[in-house]
Amino acid sequence: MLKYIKSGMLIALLPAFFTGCKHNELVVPDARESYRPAGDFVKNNYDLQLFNAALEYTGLATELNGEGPFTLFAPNNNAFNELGITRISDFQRLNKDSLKLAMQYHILNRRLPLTDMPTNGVDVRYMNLAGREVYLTLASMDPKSPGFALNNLFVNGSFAVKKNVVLSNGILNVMDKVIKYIPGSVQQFLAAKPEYSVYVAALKQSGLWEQLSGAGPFTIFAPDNAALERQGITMETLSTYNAEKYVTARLFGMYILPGKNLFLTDFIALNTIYGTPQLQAKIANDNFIYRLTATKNLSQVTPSEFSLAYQDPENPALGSQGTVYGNTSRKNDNLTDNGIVHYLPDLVIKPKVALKK
Amino acid sequence: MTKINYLLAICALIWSFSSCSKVEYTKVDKPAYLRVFNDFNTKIGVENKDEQKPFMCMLIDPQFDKDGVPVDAAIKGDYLDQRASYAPPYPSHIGSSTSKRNPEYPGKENVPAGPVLNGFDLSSWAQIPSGKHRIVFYYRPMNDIPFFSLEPAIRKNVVVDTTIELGVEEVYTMHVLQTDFKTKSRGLILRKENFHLLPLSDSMVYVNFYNYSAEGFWSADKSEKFDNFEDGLLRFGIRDDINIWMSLCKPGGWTTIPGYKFAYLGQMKRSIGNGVAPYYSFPLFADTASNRITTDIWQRFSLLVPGLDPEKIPYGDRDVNADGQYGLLALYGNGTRQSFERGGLFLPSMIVNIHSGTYNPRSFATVNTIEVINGTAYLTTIQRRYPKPIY
Repeated sequence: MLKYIKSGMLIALLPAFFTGCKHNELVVPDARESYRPAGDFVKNNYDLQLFNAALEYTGLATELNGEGPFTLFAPNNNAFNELGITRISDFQRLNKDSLKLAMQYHILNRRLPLTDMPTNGVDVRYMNLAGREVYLTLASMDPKSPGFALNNLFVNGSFAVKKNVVLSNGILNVMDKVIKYIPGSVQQFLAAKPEYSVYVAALKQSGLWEQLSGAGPFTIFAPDNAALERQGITMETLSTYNAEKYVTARLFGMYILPGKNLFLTDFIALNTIYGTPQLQAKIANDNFIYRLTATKNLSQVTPSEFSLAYQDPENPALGSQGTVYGNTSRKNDNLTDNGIVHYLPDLVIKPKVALKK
Repeated sequence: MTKINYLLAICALIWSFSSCSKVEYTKVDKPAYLRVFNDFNTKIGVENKDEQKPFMCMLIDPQFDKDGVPVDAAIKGDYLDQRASYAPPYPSHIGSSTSKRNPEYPGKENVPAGPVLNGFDLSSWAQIPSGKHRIVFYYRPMNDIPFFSLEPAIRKNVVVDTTIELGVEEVYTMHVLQTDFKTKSRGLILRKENFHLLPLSDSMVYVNFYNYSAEGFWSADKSEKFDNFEDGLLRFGIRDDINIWMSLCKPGGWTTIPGYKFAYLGQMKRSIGNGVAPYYSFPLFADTASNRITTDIWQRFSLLVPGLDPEKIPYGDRDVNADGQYGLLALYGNGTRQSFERGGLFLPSMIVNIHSGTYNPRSFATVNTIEVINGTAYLTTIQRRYPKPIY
């Protein structure tokens, strides 16, 4: 009886030998296969269309499909629109070499994911493909509530609207502003801009001009010709300017902040990190105090807005006076070799406040 | 049956061989005991945003490559963060923390800790080989990358580089701190403690005071300092010469214990030196109404410039800026802020209340150090061993 059962069981096992032999080609999906190299990724994103056009025009696109590693701070279309570049053909009008340098400025020759950036680091320098340094600020969290991560990333005054996109050869971040680096000193920067010609003449006349070619760093809020004209300061009236009558360091000098390199977004980051959103200090060679702060709506991604005001030490109760706001993003955060230049739409200290007593 | 016995015997034999492993205990010969604090606490803001943040790595006897970059060290104390306001008597950070940031060395580091020395629990001290050592503190970025895995370029940023000599079985407390507020110079204090050598009674609470503030801190403009209300009257610093007055109060208010209202303790001088300050004491059961098992009194220290009478202070206890003439420390419960004492800086009480034996809680006397550094104060508590709780 046992014999029959045994052979019966063996027969029952027999089909198992045949059915178990089917051999399917099993391919385990490679997690990295879906990641594209930087050049292709930029090309396939509508919001990075203009950045891609700039890369292709300057020949950087093929390099970005190479081995890498790269970290990209890619300005989106809005960022280029701000500068008046709205169509791909607009790049044809630009100098290829300087555009290439400007685009290389947005790319680091390393892989820098968010986790490798120093927590709450302010203006940490990283070398880019242009051989210069970008100033990276990561407002990770309020130190008093470390469990609540914010991770707001700023690079040279631009804000990362999208962070830490993984590429096969690096990392991509999308920025809301084109990083503006202009080789040369702040002096050369101002001299090259016709809209600041009256301010430049005023600085030359009052002996404040020469220092601007020095080591710095300087942060300059430069009033343009229209702003000065509103207060009656033009090339013609400057020639009759009486240095005996005015405190020049206050009237023209207050817009030069020596020893500071401040992007407007630094205030937003420092507010998170140290809770100090305002800079208050004495105007160089004067007893008046200037107050400077800046804000930015990070959820609606509005431009950074600064406010510059003065305080009269003899009347502290009056608080901030002559406050000027500025949010002309395309004219702010101009980095040069020895400082940063922002555009000031109006004078903070009017000529009558700067009169000598 | 004998077969089974043989089998069992063989099994036992195999098991006895295989389970043998020699445990190599880390042992430090002729140790010194070291505890390190990072005392940097000055303000970094828009004005000085490019200044280095006081986040450090301590290397003892480092080795360098040909470029002068440290590549290894005999002892490494990484992620050394600004110290916490309370340095507890045993390394309690280990249990509850998930962060790598270390408020002190050894703190969370897994190193041989100090023994119980003359009754004092030194588990917050690390054992370090005695003798001469080169000790270097480096600034490091605030991330979780271990120091030696950082890029070489950012491993060169020295805070302090010096040589120290540690004696056998001596207890040291080391501070790395800013010595001058204007020049931003940095320095090191190596304090050879003597509490374990003094005949201190276990029914008295002891405390000593140091002022390790940077030179010129209190007189600097207040815009250069943190305006932290939790530091109370002390927030903009205190003058170099200060009288210390102690009051012992009942919880919930200022009802003082008879005989302990503004008791004069002594003077505190600002000094960045290695000297040990004298200990002041009060009885653990100063409150005669207590049951002599547990007591809930809190300690209130008024720090006043010489010439000011604590009974007639020209400043209110809610004043913000007392021009460095008045500071107030409230050592209350577990250090939680109490609304009735607005101008006080709250620290935990120096009396340890804990379940011991059949009593829950039972009060124990401790030996304490209060260090006033710039606009704040820190409490270090050292405790003796106490009997285990019986449930």
